[in-house]
Amino acid sequence: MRRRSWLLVTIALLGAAAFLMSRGDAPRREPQARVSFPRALRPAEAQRLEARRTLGERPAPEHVPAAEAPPGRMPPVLDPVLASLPAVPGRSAVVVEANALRHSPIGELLLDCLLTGGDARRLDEAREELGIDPLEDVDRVAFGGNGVLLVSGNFASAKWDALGEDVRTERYGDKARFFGRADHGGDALAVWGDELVLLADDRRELEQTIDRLEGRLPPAPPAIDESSTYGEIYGVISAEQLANLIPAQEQGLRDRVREAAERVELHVDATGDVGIVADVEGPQEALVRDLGKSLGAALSLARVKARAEGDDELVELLDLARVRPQAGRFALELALPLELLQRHLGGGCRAGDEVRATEAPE
Amino acid sequence: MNGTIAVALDLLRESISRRWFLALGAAITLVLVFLGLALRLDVVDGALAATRLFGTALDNDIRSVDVALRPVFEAAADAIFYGGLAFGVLACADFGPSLLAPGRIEHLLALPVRRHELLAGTYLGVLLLACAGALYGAGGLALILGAKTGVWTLRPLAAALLAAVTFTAIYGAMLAAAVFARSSALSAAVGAALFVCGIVAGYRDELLAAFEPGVGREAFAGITLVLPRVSALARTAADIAASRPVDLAVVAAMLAGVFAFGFAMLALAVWRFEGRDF
Repeated sequence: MRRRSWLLVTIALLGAAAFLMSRGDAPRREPQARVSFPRALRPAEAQRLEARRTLGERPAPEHVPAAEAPPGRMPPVLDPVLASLPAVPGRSAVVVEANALRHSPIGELLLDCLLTGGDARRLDEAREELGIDPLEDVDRVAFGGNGVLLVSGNFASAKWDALGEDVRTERYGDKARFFGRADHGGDALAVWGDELVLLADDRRELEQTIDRLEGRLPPAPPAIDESSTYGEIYGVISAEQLANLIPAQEQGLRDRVREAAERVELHVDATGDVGIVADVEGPQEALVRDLGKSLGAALSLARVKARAEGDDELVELLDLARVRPQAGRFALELALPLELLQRHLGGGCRAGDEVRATEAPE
Repeated sequence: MNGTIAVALDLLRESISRRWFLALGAAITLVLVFLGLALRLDVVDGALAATRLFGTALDNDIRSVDVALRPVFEAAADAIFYGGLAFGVLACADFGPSLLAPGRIEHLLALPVRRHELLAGTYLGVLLLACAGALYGAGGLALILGAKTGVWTLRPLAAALLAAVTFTAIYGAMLAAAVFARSSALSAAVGAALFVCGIVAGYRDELLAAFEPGVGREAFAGITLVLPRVSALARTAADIAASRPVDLAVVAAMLAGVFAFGFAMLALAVWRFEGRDF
């Protein structure tokens, strides 16, 4: 090999090196930032809680039978929504901060995705027909263990006539109105003041709820304590319903949840990345500890399976899942990074747009 | 080819007799023994329930073992990568100049070995040495963590090999410097400079954005274009060790680029070596 050719090889290889190494110069995706998980009331949530204490303390009603009086003195729940969600053993109660969620990054993302073309028009029509803007005037949506669905917000301008010509209105108590069809069929619907819409299968449940709000019945122990109203979704889930969320093939894990868990408190924070915390408590510390280990192991195995199947997005999600054991309880933490949701929802929206475009009349 | 291998084996024999390399082996062994004796991991079906060091609980969260051990693997990958490069620059700086030492080079040239085989053998020997050191450290760590957790992964070894390959690119430039001027100090200085410049080159895109358009920006872009992206490779090695997803096509291109740079420096050394009289 002539000496000069070594120099030519050098130059050629340097050119190749520059070309090849520049492939890696693309901006690197930063590793996932730490997701903040909801663990306690934050200052803004404490202020929100204070602003919602609108009921005012009332003296206990005189006609209440002694058997129905709550034991000891309960701290008064002055938030109408929380006061309408009594604790029912073995049943779930969940509050969704609809307005906060709508204005959160994930809410904006979902609206951008969902409200395109015809959907936006339909929403405008609904606004016109109902007299309220569901995206702005609804504050919270709550599901109680007593079977009552509550929607809180500003319904002063709501057009209740839009419910139908055969719907009659009946006043109840100080501030409530019932809406019902002449044949008494269908669900019971009531409005309390201009701030609360209540819906249930059974009218008696609504009457009891309104009676509690207006002081004719003693307050029931709330399903959700005021100090637990942090996050954009919060509440308590029964062990049975949590067990039902576990895939059927994990029957052993389902049984363990039913056996060990007594109360599961759920909190979802959506102010940035979505952080989900489920605090699990049970009467027997050893059983709860074992359940925590079993859930941690199940998450770990699911991650291994996802990796083996090449499901990188699920691997990324399960990377952030963990169980944090504490004395007599544990917290199950899951996270949905916003960046991942943007990628996922972005793809879903594009697919939806394409479907809508092909379905649109020519 | 036989001449190249013979020179490489000769270099390995020489390195074994050096205290530097014995010290490196002893240091890696000590770290591995420390981890083996002190670390206690409580693992349930692939989930880590607790980590204890000398009986003190470090972490009680229950998570996938490989996720929980990410900081350990990342720290190990960084230590092996940057520590290995720094050690290699210092410990291998003398190989080139000692090859060219008066008396020895005349003896080697009298053997039936061609000149480019001498340099290629030295380069290959250093590559083998770097791979052996990296594999010993990373392999030992993978064995200890595998035995303690039941999670057997070759990822730390892959990360260590990436470090070894990166070092050979740096060593190519060190060898070329030694051929131009037979000086261990210069060889080490070139290695250290390339090490630092390679770290900067790894952030090339981010840094270019900070430059005002002009000659300075173009000069920076031109110089860093050919340099091995040391820090980018270190991040990739840490990602591999920590079981994070990496773009294999990009890693393959960068590795090929690093090899090309190393061979380019070797070819430059051969060009100079072929023209020298001894």
